[in-house]
Amino acid sequence: MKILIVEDDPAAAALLQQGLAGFGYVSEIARDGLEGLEKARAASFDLWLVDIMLPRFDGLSMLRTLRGEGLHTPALILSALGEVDERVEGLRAGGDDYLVKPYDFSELQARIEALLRRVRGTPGIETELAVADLKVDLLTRKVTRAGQEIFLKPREFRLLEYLMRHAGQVVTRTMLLENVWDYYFDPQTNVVDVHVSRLRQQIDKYFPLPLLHTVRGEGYMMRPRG
Amino acid sequence: MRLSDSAPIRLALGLLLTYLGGAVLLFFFLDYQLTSTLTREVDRGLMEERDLLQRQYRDSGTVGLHRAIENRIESEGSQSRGFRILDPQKKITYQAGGLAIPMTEPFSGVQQSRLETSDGKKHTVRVISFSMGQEMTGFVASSTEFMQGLIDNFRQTFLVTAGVVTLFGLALGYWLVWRFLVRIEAFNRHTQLIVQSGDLSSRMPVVGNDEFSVLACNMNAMLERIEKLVQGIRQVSDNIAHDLRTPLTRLRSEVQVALQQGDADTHKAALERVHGELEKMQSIFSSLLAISRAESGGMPVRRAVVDFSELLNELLELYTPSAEEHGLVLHGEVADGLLIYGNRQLLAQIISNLLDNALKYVPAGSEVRLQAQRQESQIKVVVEDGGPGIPPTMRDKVFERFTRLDPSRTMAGSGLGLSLAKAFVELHHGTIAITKSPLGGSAFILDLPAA
Repeated sequence: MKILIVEDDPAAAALLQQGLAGFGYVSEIARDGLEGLEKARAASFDLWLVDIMLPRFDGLSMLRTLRGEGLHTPALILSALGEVDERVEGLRAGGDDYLVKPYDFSELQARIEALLRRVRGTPGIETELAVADLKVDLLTRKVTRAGQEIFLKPREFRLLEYLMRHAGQVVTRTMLLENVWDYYFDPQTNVVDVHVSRLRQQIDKYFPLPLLHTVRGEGYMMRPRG
Repeated sequence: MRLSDSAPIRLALGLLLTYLGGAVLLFFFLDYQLTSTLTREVDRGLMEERDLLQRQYRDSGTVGLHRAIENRIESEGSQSRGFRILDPQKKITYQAGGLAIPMTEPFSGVQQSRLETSDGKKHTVRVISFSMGQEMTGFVASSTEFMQGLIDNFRQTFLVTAGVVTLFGLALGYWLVWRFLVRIEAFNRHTQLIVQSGDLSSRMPVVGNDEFSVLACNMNAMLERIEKLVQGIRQVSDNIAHDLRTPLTRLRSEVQVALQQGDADTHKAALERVHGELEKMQSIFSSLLAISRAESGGMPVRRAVVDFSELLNELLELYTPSAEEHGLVLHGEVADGLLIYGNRQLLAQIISNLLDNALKYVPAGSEVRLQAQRQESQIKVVVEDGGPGIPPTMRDKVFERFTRLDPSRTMAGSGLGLSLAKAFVELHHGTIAITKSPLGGSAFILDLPAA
């Protein structure tokens, strides 16, 4: 996995590179938008990490240019601009996800995983998701565990679907709020945790193998292990 | 500033010059008209006189002619008339009147000449010649003195009048300009004072209700807005000083202590505490930034018609499990079809902050109720609870930054949630207030304009 970091602050870029190396990603650094443009054109990367406020050529213009040239490498925007509209602007310019600085590295890692998964994911339309004996039929919206049907409310279904699509990866609370509820702010109480623990009650309670795990300090993960 | 740089003075001078130019043109035009009209009148009189004399000569000969001339002199006065008759040898056969005609040859039309009369005065005269039988030539002269008198009179009157009007105009113009400048000077003095002292609470004096007072009112409104913004910035910097320094100090000592202790486990624990502290600070920082940007109008907000009923129901659904965990009963009564022209994320955050507050401060076993309905052009939302409530004296204060009812500040929360809610409500041109709820606790009442 090769990642392009477009970031003008050398210290931040170096830390990012070091952190990514810790997760087994090779990365290259571009110091401004023009350098980013050149590097993105010259070599194939699996992901672009793009800061918005860059000297010479800003991140959004860079993304727009690259998208205009038909390059579809997933892009994660890292920005100090956190307002709702700026996020919309970033996604419109061709970003696939938007993370506000300062962020937790675990949050960044989870989002990188999610983006790479999306690209690697099987082309075509999935009709069924499965983790161990938990199965979700996306067409009939039927959920079964070990053949036993589990009845979920629509939102619980969306929550489960998102977790299942990212099985084996850490999914953060913020990612859940954004993707399941479409809220781009963090409530000051643990509303998401309660929803997840209710879902866990429904899918894990009567079965010996727990599937939905809490990753301390990071988020949640679906995986068929204890 | 030179006087000629002053706009009103330049304007007044320009107007004065235009007026004077017009007056000069008018003067020459009228003078010419008057002179030519009067001259024509004199000439007409001369021609009539010539016709009369010719008729007299034809009817009653030289004697009749002389008598007629004498009659004329008698009725018109000798000094303004002159008569001369020449025989074919150009010898003067008869002369009468005070005007000595110098001509000896007949001519056609009317001629003008200047000559001295017997009483020693110089006169401009108009002369006409005519012929009589046996090639005798007659001349009649008429003085234009009377006409000159009229013209002089006209000129005098015109010049005096024009002079008076000019002087009056100058005075009036000066007065108007002065009055104008005095008002502008007042503005200048006042703005300079504000610039020098930095006192934004100062206001322009508003006198009467002309354009100047409208300008003063607008400037005052502008000052008020600026004052509010500056106050906001001041408050934020005070807040940052107070409420970010404390956690910073904690962080610093945490790191220092950890550096002095060598144990890896202690390090890890310290780092975790530091991380938690940083997260809290970040959230305070983001909220402060969002509040001040929302209040200053610096926040770009993409607006659309939001199905507010749906949004409220979604939020109720999001918060119900949490409320149950906290031992609270969350009731929702949301009317259908409530639409707001606004930003879904900001609207959600307003309600979310109010519900978070309820979860944090309302004791288990109480009820929390969210109601929303349309009232004419407004959408009224009430979030109320059976908690301890907020004392009336604190009801305005809780919307200020960093206000917390718990003096020991042991409860979670930054004291920014309600400030943020208020800022976002105002961004949607709404209001938020607190009253006592029939449930026993506080009731947050929101009024938002419906789409």
